[in-house]
Amino acid sequence: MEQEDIDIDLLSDKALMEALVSKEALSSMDAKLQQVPPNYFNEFPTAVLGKIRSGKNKTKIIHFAAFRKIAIAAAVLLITATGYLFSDKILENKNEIVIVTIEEIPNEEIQKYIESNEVFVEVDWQGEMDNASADLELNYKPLNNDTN
Amino acid sequence: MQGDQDLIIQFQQSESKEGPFTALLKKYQKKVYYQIKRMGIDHANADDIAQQVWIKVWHKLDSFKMESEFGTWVFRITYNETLNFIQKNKRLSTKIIGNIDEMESDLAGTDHPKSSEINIVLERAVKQLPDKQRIVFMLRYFEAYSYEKIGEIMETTVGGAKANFHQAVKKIENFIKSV
Repeated sequence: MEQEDIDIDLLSDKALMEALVSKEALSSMDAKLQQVPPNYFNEFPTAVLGKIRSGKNKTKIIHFAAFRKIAIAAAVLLITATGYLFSDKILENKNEIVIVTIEEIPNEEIQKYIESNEVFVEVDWQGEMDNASADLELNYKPLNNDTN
Repeated sequence: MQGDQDLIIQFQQSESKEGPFTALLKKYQKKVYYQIKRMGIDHANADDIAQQVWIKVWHKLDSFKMESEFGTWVFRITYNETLNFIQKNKRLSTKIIGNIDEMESDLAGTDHPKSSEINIVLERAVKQLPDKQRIVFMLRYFEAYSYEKIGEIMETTVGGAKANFHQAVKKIENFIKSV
């Protein structure tokens, strides 16, 4: 029953195609694809067995699989080593301390820096005011009336 | 004549593997070769691919667990090998169309019957199909494979295989109408 269903489906699929192009044209196309040099299929098994015996392809396959693993391992090592060396250079550069006094920096450079970087300065106004008033209190000396 | 399963067991269990392997090769070599040719490959390359397929079968047959039919397994290897070849050789399609162009110029000026022209248009129509659609079309129409088997070979669903066939027919129809 299932086989019958498949066959009916197949027939309707074939009919779809044969409505477009004649069956002969389709057969002719396939016949052309099936053209092979004389004796090809008689000689083919010998050719395959010859290659298997020579082991050329076996070596090729094993080498390729091994090469892939080695290549991945090498790539990982290379990345790690490069990263290590690169990070070391960065650290070396970071450790170099160059002392520059503010007077040595040109004003234009300072100006550029301020313009391109937002500089926030937090000022504790209340604290400053309290300190100021405390100072005032401490330093407060009542005015002497030298009237006495 | 021994069945596939017996030959596979012989291959897997005995030291002399060449006997059962050659029997399997002789049984399936034509189908493998034609499957490659139907994927749009010329003879020289089809021969190379077919040899690679059988060398792969030789190396993998020891671990074949008979969960699917031997034929389906071999056709799946064939499909994958051919698809790899096509992807590595993007210029292949140009080469194939070039062959058809040569044929067309051979026909020009001669008094060939009209069916030759139809054949050329049909070949062109099939060659312009995307790889998967062309393969499904060929396997379904010429090999009369069920969609289940095509799905197994191409590792796709039955629905996907059906859709590919119908899209292929539609594209062939459009191509023929446009010529």
